[in-house]
Amino acid sequence: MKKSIRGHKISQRRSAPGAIHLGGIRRILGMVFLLLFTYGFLGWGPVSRTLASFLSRIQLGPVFLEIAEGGFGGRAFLVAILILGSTALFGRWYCAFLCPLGTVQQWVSPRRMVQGGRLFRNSPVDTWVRYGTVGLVAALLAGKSAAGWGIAPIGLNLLDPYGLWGRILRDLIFPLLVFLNWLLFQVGRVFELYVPLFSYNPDLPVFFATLLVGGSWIVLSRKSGRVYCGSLCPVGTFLGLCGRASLYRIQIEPKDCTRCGICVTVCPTGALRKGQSGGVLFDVDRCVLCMNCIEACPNGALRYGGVNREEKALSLTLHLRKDRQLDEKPAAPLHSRREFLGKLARLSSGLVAYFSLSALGGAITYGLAPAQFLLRKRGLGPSGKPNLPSTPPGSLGIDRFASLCISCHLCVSHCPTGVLSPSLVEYGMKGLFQPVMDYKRGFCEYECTRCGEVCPTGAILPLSVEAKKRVQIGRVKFEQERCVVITQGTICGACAEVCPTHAVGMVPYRNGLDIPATDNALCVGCGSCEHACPVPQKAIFVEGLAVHGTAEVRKPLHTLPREPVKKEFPF
Amino acid sequence: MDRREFLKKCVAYGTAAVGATLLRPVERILAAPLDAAPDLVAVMGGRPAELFDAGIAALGGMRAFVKSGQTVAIKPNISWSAPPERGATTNPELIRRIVEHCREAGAKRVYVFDNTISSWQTCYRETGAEAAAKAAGAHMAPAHSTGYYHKAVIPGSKVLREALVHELVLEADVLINVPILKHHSSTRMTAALKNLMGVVWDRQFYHYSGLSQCIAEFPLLRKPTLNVIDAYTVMTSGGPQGSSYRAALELRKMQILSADIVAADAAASRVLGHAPEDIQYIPLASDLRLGRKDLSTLKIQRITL
Repeated sequence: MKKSIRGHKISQRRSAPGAIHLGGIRRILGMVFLLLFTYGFLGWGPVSRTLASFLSRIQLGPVFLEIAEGGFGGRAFLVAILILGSTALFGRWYCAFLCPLGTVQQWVSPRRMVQGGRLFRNSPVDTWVRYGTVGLVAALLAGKSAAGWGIAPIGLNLLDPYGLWGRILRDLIFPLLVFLNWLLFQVGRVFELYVPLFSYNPDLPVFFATLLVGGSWIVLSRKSGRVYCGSLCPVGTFLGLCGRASLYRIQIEPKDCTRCGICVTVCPTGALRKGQSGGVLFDVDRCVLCMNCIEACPNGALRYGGVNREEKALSLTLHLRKDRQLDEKPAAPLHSRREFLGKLARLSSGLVAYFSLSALGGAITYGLAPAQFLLRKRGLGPSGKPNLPSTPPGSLGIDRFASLCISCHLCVSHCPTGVLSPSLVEYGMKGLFQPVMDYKRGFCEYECTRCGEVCPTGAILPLSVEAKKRVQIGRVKFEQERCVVITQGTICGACAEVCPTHAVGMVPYRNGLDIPATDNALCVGCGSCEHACPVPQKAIFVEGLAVHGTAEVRKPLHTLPREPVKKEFPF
Repeated sequence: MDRREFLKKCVAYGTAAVGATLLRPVERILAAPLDAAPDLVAVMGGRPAELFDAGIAALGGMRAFVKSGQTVAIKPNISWSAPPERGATTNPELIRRIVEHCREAGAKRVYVFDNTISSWQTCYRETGAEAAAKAAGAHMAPAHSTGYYHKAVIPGSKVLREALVHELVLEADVLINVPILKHHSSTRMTAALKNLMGVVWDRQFYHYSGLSQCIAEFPLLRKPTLNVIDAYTVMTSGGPQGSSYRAALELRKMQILSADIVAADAAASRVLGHAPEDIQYIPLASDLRLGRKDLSTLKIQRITL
């Protein structure tokens, strides 16, 4: 018998002998899924890719996006039915262990939540925020599905728990692993062992941007528990709506409850709270089935199980599910009307600012002159003129990609050359963190199709190697006057050497020198030439295409005779 | 045996022993015109491993290059993610045979590595180099991160003053350069000299500062102990990658072995139908006294299997 759980002395556990320890199961499953997730994201080889694409495809954010794009009836729809259906029966089990972000928040949460110090919680603003977020996301998804809007699901892109956790893994935790790997490498060196170093090209702006977002989220949960899960997360709120009438749930036995309120202090989402007269109110919408309350209750008054007949009747009619326990009336609203309006005003001004930034970002992406000054560094093409960013092969074009990508960075993790890297402003604010082809960091490997293989939302469609070789994501441009062949008068050909399709070849120039010549019929926009070009201001570069085109594939002359062509030494 | 006799014999045997050691160089000089190892061996008409067996035997066996207990670094050209049939990368059969010879000669450790252009794990795997090297007991050393490279000053250079060089090149006792011969869009040919670009980190510096000059100057830092040019499948156009429609291959079933990197490349240029002078970096390297480009002054042994 445990003496204390999460700092609370427990006099006596009154659960039936042999009863399943639900909290323990939740911890083990959460840990297992989190470890698998981390391996899928940060591991290498086909096993990690298969694992990652499986795990990410049972996350609801990607599932909803895939349904919005591909319609009902597909595999994603089946996953949605299974998860939502089981939630309607058993409550938000998904949040208990399937959501990696939920597991981490559960760990980070304080042992005792501070009542009153919670953001949003249990106030009318909170309800506005929660349902407003879900409504916004749902409207965007529905609009995308019905009318094919090219609008990114703004809220989902930034608020989806899976995407958020993916970014934290890739952009914050991976650099940490890189450092540990480097230490291991130094130790191995002493023993003449070659420890392979991880390929990592530091991206400080993205690191700090994720640190800001991820860090504030960690501080939030460290301070106030799973406030994100209870009050912000669109997936969680939606699951809460589904599980509102769940047949299995946390229940309080009135005759065993002493109104001590310990359960309220350990509830990380605010599903349990104190009523006016000191009793306990239970909000089933917010319960993430962490089982903290069951473990903490000194009298065993809480249990997880089927609702009794009376409750069942009520749940079937979908009457007010909340606030039924102990015949308690909810506490008076914590905020005055003035305070409420103030919060609402701040919230709406935030939204206005957000959408203005989105619009500005869009303007930058499409090269509207007044917006360009913001983007000297990353958004401008090597020509000095605005250049559309290239999106990975299989994404079909910028708008489609931006409207489907949830910014989980799974493709970034598995890109072998590092060309796929998180964007900051390339797609505008609406596409914040969505991956972009950054040819300074790498080039798109001609024979590789990994990004489409792992992408869970269908933003990057899976392609066969043969199909991928026909996709033109951008077109090559050669600025002769910057080329070293002309400026230095030496041979170079770094671009032609690496071009996989001979879209860049060398033709005679003068003084026995050769100079690049381009052929955009063959160009796939892989950026090998731009990556290899030794001139600081690239003489050859890729201009992205808003909608991907088709490249011609010509068969190589790979015919080998059986016998040597010459049978004498030429010297 | 009394004491006097013992001492006499000691002196006699001692003198004989010392005399014998003194005579050895003389012996070598006397024997030289008769069976000196050739400057360059060219072999034709067999599988890559058979060609190597014959070639290295003509050079006096691997023990002439690798001593017991030494570490060996082998630098093939495995820059592209391509199967051996494409003729873009060193034949894995050859890599395997070289490693086996090194192991037989008593090498303590054998490393195979290349700073690849395509992503390194794919290259190591798809070219068959990793499987071949490991099967023969070599270590596949990584070269994809700047952590493996150290700054080295290139003595006597004009352009490539210093470079970040893979630590195996700086530390290994023996360096064996195993390029594949093929057409190259930049330099017209790539073989032994150009292959050493794959042991430095910053290749863009070469392209920016004078490609041929940098290629020619690098061996001033270290000349490979042995160069083995794989000319079994030769890409005659569309190189170095050979993935485009311009790629054309010839089956030549040849191999060129030499400790002289310039001589090896000069012979290789002939295989592609060039004169050594046509390839800019060959005369440049010859001017830097890194080797002899004039094939007529060399002792060449030609073997046809």
